[in-house]
Amino acid sequence: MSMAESLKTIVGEVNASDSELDRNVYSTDASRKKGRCEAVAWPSDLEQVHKLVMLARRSNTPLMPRGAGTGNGNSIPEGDIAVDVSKLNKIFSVSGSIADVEAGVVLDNLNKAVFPMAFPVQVEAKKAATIGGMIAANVLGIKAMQYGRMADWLEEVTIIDGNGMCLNLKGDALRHVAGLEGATGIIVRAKLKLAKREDQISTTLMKFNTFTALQEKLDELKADADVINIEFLDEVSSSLIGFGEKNHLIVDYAGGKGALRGGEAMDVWQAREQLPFTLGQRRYIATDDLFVPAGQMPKFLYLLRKENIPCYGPIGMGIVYPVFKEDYNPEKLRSSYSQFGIKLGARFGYGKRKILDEETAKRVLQLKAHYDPKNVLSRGKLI
Amino acid sequence: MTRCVECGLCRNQCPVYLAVMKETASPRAKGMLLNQGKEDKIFYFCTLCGAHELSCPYKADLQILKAREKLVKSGVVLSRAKQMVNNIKNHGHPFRAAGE
Repeated sequence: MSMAESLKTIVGEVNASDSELDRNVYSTDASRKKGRCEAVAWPSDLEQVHKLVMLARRSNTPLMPRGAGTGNGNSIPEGDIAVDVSKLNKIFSVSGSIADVEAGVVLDNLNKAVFPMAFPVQVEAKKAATIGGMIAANVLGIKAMQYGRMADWLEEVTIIDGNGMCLNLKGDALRHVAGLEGATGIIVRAKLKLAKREDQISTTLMKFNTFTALQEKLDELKADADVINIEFLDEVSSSLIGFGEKNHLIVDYAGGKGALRGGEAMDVWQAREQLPFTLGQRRYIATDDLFVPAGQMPKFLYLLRKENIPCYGPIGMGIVYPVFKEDYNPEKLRSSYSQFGIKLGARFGYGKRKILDEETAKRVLQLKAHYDPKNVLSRGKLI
Repeated sequence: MTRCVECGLCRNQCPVYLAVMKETASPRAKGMLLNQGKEDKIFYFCTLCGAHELSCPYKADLQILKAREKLVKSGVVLSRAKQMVNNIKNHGHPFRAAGE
């Protein structure tokens, strides 16, 4: 029996394929890097996911779980069967401050279902991004300093691990799945914490002529207990979204310290949310997600300006996203990262880039040995 | 022409994708094939509603009709479409002659 036929016995005739077209489409994601997909399965319940894992174990064919494929290289198979969880899209319940959803639920659909509450981790790709994918990459949302990462908003996550076991992970064990990019288990369901919508927040848009002045203000803001978000926009980014050709900080305050409230403040953040796409329209289509050590930030931003590379991001957390035009070779800039002590993977996860530090790689190996000793899930990712 | 950058934000706007929930049916897959210079029967799998443009940050024109034109010229036509063309030729109506 061929692999596609075996898959069809699990998910049904129309929910498995090894056609050239399907393999081609599932061999890549939003990064447009190309891998190799053996076959595709579209499971529609937890039991089917379990059977897929058992098949992978028997045949030693790895599975690559996939959400919306809006990530930066997180869903690229290398001889794997792509397991598209889009059909696991039920919202079981929204009760008080908890939403119980399947992994394939799209963030935008969740937002609508939980109103008047809100799920606080919002990404620019919210119209497509799935909850499972967001957990797997442990993404940072737009107001990252205030709301942190996806892992901070998880109550419980259900996975099918590499042993075929269905596990409900809670508490500290959530760290065994969030940010592990499917290497420990296929995420099938999650209980998410919700937040009240913001009503006591004010915002100020600050502009700066020099990076030194910006850094000084940044240090001052970080020491201010009322400051809950600090977002950076360089001259090019600011200009593109109508803020004028200066470096800017968008600063959110808990309470009324900021100059803008309500609709005015929302307009500022909506302009920021559109920024990646506005840049994209000008052919800035690739980005890196970087942790920059505090003391290095002004020098690094100066280098970006010299290279004409636009940049934005939650600078309050030491994170920025330089954006590259399609005809620019990013390796030129990347070669300078080590001299600044910069680390990659701040926002979108790691994919198959082997950039984990020794300690984290050791931790991943330990988790892998426990949850997926046969290495049938997301093989080659992270480590 | 604005090219598709394959970001995938169009998926949830597309009625065809929402009906089948497979990436292959999404506007992004069509954009990807166009970028690869490939035509495929999947281009017939589209209502031509243009909904993907609502969420496309780049307003990419997928030029589905042009892709279909190329497919027809190379002889790749769906059997149902062939039947409709024959019905028009023989009976003047795509859904067979009245009374049939």
